[in-house]
Amino acid sequence: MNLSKFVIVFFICIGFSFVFGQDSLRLLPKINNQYNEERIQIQNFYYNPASMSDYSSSSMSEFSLNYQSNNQKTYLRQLGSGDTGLSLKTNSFKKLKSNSAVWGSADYSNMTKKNLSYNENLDFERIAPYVTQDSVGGNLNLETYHFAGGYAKKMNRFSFGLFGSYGAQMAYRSRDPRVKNTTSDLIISAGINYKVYQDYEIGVFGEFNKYTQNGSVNFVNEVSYPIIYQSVGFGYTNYLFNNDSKTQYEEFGYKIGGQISSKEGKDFYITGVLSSSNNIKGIEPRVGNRYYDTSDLENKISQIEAAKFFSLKNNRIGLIFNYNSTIRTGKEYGYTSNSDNRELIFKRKAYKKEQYTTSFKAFYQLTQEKYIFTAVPFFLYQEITERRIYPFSGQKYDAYTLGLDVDLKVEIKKNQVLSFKPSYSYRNINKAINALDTNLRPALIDWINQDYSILTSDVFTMGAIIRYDFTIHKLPSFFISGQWITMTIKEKNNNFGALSLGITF
Amino acid sequence: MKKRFLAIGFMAILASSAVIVSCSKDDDDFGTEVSQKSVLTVTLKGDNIATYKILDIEILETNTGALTKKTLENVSAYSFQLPYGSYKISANGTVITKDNEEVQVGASAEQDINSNVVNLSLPLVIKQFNNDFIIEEVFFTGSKTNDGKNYNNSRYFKLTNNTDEVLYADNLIIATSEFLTSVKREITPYHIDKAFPVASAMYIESTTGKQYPVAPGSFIVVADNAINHTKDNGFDLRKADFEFPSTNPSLGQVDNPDVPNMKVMFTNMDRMIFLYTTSIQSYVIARFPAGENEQTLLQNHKYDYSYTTSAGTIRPVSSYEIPNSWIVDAVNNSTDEDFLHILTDPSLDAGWASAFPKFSSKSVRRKVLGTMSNGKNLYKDTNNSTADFVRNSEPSLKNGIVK
Repeated sequence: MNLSKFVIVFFICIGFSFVFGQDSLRLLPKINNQYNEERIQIQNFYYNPASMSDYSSSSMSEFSLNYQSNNQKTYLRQLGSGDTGLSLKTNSFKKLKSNSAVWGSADYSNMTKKNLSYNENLDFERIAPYVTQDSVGGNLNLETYHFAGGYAKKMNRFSFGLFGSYGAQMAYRSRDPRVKNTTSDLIISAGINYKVYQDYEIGVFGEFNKYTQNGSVNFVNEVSYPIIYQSVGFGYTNYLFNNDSKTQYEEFGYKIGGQISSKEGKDFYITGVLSSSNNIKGIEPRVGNRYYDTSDLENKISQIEAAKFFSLKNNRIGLIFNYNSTIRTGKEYGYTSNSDNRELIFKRKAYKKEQYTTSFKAFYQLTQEKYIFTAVPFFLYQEITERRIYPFSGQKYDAYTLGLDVDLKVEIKKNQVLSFKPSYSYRNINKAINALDTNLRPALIDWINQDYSILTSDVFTMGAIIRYDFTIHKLPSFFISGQWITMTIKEKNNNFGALSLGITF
Repeated sequence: MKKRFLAIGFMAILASSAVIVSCSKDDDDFGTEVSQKSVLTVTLKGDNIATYKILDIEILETNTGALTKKTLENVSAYSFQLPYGSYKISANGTVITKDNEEVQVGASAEQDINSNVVNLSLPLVIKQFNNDFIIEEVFFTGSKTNDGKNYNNSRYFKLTNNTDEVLYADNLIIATSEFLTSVKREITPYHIDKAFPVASAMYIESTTGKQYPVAPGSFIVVADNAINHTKDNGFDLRKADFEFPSTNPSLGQVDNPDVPNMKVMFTNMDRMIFLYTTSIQSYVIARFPAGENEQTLLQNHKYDYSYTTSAGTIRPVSSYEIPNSWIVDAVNNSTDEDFLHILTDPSLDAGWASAFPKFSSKSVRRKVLGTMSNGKNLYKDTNNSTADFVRNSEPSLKNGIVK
């Protein structure tokens, strides 16, 4: 999509937001509803679009212009040393009637990702380890567009919901190696809830996802070019397709889930989700006219989340438990090099990454006339095992994270609210085992050892967001917010700063 | 009440799915495909061989780049446990013939493996050694100028008399390969066991045959352009013995009138001899046997072949070839990332050398075994470039040509 089309759709969304905006006499209750801390903590409950009809009791919209700068001194080379850029965001939730709601969002961002190497693709986490790489790399200019919209309605004991989103990215580098990547990501989901008894509801939902990424790496001099590698993980590459620079990733995925809740999730809920996707990578040989499938990355995610909330006068107390298992298995394809025709001679599972995450969060909120205080202490335990065969190489580590998120919203005046959100967390590596194969070129050994060292380092994170919302006469509310996060890894600080200007209504 | 049971039942399903999830982490293998292993039994064969004294086997899988090495002593067969794949197999070593003579042998083969048991018969060929010049060094990578530009000139062949007698460089042929070690096509006909297909060939033209004597251990340099390239971080090649002729002014080469030109017999580049900078070509040096010359080569050794293009069409190509019996030395070149096959019969060269990356000012240089009685270097020559050459070597002419 070009920028002009995006701008048209974007302003339609803003107009839509204004129409749905509504005034409120005091700003604090409105801001507290729009940025409700409890709702933020239970986003997984709203996987099911049928549950969105109870997302908010009133309509709300936001439009913001954002600038962010992320400067990392300790970073994984394939993810780069951070990014800098601007984004425009708008989102809106509208209660049409007491029993139906629509919502939507539109985002545009223009960022520069800095100092990427060994990765010439987008969405690294989605396609790793099967990325295209060269050791030079550099900065990458990235534009992203994203639109989403949904509709939910209650009918007697039933609630229905439909949701769709489309995201596109375009990345390029204007010096060698000249990268060009485009992605598209379409999600369609639907859900249904049924009120079985009093406030108890059960629900099921499903999601379909189609994702594609097309990439190429070129050099000004088409006759002379350095080697491009097709990674298979841990510094190893696809020997037969190295130097072939056009790639295509195609992914189909689905997600199914079930849910049981009471009082629209405000009393308790349990939600379980199973998702599966296959991301197939194709490479077009430099001398060739078709793509050959080289890997099939299967991604299976199982997640269960349970939460219980209750109120004691002005106090709101909750507990949230979450368990997530993500297993990625890479099946690699082998072709003959002994004939003109690259005939397939084997497919085998050769890469596996398992990630198990268990988290407990406690939720405490105190609501007073002039302020709302929220504290969310959390504990997270993560086990990660990643390995491949032929040749065997792998790493394994587990870590626990202890943290605290605090939010304080204070009414300065009737039309002014100040929000302050400090956060703190400490990630401690419990045990790390390195079985990395080092039968590689020295530069690659250096890279994979550095990755391992960063991944298995303790991380101390501290940050805060400060935000000021105010209303002038009958205009929509304005806000300005600033964010700062410092992450200390290996005695170096990675700093993230962001500034936002926006309106809410 | 019934509905409450429904609700409890639903919760039980969710809870049990969580249990299934948590148990699944114990299943940490890669699935049944891990059994995609095969036993490849390599049986060495050859005429008149009494004992397979020592043979180094190398097996390259071309999807993963995995290299399996094994040295066999006094056995003619060995079973390798290998995963499915597309393999290139090479053998280099020494056997003792039934006449009790120790000779060097080589072999190469290709094999796709996707069944449990595969038997491969590897016919060994006796390596061909000549009491003649050897390719001591080839510099083909080029250099980078001070402002970072690629410099394509200053390339050279260094040919050395590795014998203990005076040799004559007259009528010595240098040829570049028609094919590349990094590209494998199904060529028809393809008979590298008989002849070496060439992209270009040039020779030292002589009428007397004794115009250019070279003392034992001494060498000649054939430069692409016998000028001083040092300002572009190349080498001072003004003292080269010969240079590639340049009659194509658009390619920017300058002729040095003080250095005799090689005579080009054939080239598929526009009147130029061109060396790839990317270490994917093979080179041979050869002699015209008695009764043969440039005209008879061009007349009798045309090589018409065809291959199927990626679009599925048959592409005919017309080139030339040099019979293996004319060849006195050969060197294949490739890179760890790109190697797919050698371009010579294993009797000429059963391995490959490498200088990489391009414009790195690195060369392929032969290893020194020791010194001759006259104090000059004696070079290793087993017709296995993998063992005979130093990869990514510092060029010997970096300080100019000093004889």
